[in-house]
Amino acid sequence: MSLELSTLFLAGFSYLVLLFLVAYATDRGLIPARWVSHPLTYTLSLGVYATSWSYYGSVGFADSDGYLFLTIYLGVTLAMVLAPVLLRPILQLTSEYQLGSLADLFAFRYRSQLAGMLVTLFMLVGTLPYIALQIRAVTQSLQVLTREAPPHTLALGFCITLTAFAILFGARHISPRQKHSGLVMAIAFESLVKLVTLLGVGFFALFGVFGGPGGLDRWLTQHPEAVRRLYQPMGESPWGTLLFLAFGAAFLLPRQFHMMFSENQRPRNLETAGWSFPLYLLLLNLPIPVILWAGHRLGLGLDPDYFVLGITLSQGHSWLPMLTFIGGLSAASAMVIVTTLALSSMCLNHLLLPASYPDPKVNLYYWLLWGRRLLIGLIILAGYSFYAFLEHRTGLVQLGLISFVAVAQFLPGVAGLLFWRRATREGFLVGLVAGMLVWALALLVPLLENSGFLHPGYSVERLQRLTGLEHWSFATFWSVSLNALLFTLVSLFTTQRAEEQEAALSCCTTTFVPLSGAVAAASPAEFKRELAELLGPATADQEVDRALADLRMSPDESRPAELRRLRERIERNLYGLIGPQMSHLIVNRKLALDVHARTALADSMRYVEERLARSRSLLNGLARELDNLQRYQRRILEELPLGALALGQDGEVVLWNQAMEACTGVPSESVIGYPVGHLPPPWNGLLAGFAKAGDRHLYHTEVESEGGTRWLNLHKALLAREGSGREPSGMVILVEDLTPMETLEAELAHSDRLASIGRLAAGVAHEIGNPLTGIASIAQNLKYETEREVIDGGIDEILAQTRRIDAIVQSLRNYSRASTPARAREPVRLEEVLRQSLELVQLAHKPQRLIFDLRCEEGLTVNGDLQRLSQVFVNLLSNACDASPPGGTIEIEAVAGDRWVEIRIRDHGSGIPERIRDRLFEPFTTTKPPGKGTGLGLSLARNIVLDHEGEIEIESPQGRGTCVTVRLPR
Amino acid sequence: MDKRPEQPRRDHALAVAFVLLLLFATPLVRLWVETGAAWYLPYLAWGGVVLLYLAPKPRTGKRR
Repeated sequence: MSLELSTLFLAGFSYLVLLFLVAYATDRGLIPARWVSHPLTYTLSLGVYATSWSYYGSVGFADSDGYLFLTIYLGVTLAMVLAPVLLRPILQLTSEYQLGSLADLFAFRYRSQLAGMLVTLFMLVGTLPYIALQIRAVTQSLQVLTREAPPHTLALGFCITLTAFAILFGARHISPRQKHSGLVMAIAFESLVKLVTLLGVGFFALFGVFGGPGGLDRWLTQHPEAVRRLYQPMGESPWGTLLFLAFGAAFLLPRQFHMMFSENQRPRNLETAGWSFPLYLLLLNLPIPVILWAGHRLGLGLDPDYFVLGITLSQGHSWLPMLTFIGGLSAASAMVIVTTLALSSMCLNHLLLPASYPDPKVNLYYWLLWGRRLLIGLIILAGYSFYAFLEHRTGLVQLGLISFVAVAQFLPGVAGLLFWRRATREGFLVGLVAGMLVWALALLVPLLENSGFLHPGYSVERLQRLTGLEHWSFATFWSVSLNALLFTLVSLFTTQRAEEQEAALSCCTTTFVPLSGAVAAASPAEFKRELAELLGPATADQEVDRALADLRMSPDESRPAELRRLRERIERNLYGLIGPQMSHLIVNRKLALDVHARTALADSMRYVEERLARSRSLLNGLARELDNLQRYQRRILEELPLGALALGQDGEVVLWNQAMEACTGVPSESVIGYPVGHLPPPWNGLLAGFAKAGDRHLYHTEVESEGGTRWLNLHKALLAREGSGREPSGMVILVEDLTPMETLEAELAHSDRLASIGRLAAGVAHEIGNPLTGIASIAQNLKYETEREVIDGGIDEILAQTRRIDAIVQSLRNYSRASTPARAREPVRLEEVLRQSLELVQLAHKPQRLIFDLRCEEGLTVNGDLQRLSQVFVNLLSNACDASPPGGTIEIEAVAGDRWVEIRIRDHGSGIPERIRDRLFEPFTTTKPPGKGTGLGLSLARNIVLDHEGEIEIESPQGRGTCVTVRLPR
Repeated sequence: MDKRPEQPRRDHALAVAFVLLLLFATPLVRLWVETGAAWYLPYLAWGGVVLLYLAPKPRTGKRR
């Protein structure tokens, strides 16, 4: 039985259209997003690993080499099982730094354009046999089904069709950074088709050819050599070699890297794929022996590579071979499309862009898009050329293994990237070149020799015989060993550059890299202007805006540390667009860093704390204890009842605790990372000035802020850096808010004055009562008086008495007025203060008939608060009156010195008992019985005097009276 | 991001990888040849490794 070529062509084309529709529907949102990001979809998308080689070639491989074919999938299983150790770190790197290919990864790690270029070239050359394999599989499968040689143009037509679909799948959008959900879904669908068709063929082989498991058992009993041939190669060379090659191919082949890392929609899917992908491969390979034996049972005179098709043709149904062909086409086309997309990205970033960077006037996005499309076409054309000129006797497996050995050359570089920080660019390049050279001499040259292109003049077989290794083991061992050896030796004898060290640290995921240096550009707007020179204005604007949106940063940002983060983000975003090396070059040139600028401590602290927060669950032992201690200490500082702020070496605010927020009304997030001078007034002037001043303490500073007047004590300490002679690493400032205490003191003073007035009440009543009595009697007499002179005299007397009452009431009113902590200082005549105080005191102590001797120098003034100074002297005079015997004398003297005015109040009472002399100024210390005094008078008087920058002393020898001396500055 | 502890997963992965290598990459694999095993035995062993990977991760040994 045979099929028509046109029918097969139509079926194949329709299938590709169906694949495209699946991709299109996904991009349009017709297929739910959760299906796209489902672990099963991810697993199936990795099934792109199984190409025509698996679909057709595995049967041929099983026929020639038994279970050796399983190594191609067991090696992948090993790689997937080691996903937490090997694949996850690569995924983290590619996600974090937007690295889209293996070339990007190496160019990033080794900071080398040459590394990216060489990896791309080697990958291209190494993968061409694999692309050729797919084209050959499709044309040969057509030959099997149609029983005639297909026209040469068919392969070309197939390649042109694949080019169109590759562009439709992966180069439709302007930004190459976007993940292609449609592509993922289409490849997943394709993998399902492969699995179903191959299992279907296996099912057909088991039941259609053998008649069921019993039939198969009987056949195997009759042909015991069938199973023995399967097992024979196990454990013999090249069993281990192929396991090793498949292990590397699992994630290094361009299509695998692309689907596993670049198109990964959800990182967690990699965990599931650790078991689900090996399960998929197991199911895919389960029918292979059965298909092989079915082919032998039917006596198919075919290349065993195509037994899959041959056995379906044998039973006369056309739909089964058609379906099987679709499965094979699916396998081939998926491989070519994904590989081409991956290679085109690498060629664009590492070959085309460095060779001919577009003019900034051209829209970079469009340039990249068309560049990619062109490269897709060129790569497929190269694959076709390789197929067209290649000798056609080389088996599918051989072509595939040549590519496997090629990509295995990247294993030492990957190991260095993940695990060896010391690896250098030179080591990587030398090792890679040596490995690829051996690969070319051992595998590529013989392939070209067989096709008639080369006559190398040496024999690989002879060299193999000398070493005793079979073909694949020989090529793999010598290429990879030489590669690894030179990689190691050259790395040890060469030095890493600074940027390589930085990249090496980034790649080791257990270490973190605090940012350093200051960006020369001072704002996002300046970033745009600088980048526009190389990226073009439109692209520069888009990229800066994108980075601002990613970081949720304001376009007006000016903090040095934030601008550095923005710079880093822009660089990373550009990795995905133009590759890491070009991105690095552009950003380094246009957004230069001053690497000698000191590290922003605030930023480093935040970076460290963010990383610790993310890694907290992973810490254990001492690291966890240290982290707990760090958080505890941080909380102490945050919740300290004193305001605390810390400044870094550059004067930027590193700490601004809750008490500072409460005191200043400035939230910490608007302050951290900014220079201290950036604070809103009055805090900028106060704190910046204090930070620069030589004094370590500043007491009783009055600050007018939005919330009112505040009184603060400021204290500061420099934070010494380890090692002598080095400048301090910053400073800490403590801010003590005295405002509540000041308010309380003012209220207490007021209460004391009110209490004093209470004590004065009896005297006040008496003093007011006398003139009132006088006024009443004069008014009584005036009722009957007729002489004008007498009437006028009486009225004058009444007015005089009224004024007297008014003066008493006014002085009481003035004295009792509530004071505020805001002290108005003004020149105060001392004589006036003393006389007023004396008048008030005399009101209460008239019955004692005390004699007050006031001697005050003329014109003596002090700068102060009249009311509060009155309170001082009222308290002191009251005490003197209370201590004096009836008829005693109290002397009040005020004299001026050079810098001071001295006021002495002396009484001749009994003096102050010795037991309380040391506690005189303490609150609630009194010798008076309860109800006669609050015990706060001297305490308040002292506070008021000290507040006026004065001094107060008391001398009171027992039995000889008391002398209180108050000194106030002039 | 998976919040499960990192170290036990890595340990488990290494253990399963070791079993895989033991079964398929050491001279032990010759036992299948010598003992005339059924044709599907490698698939069973392969499936067993997959199941082992799916098995619950070992505890760290810390008491809660």
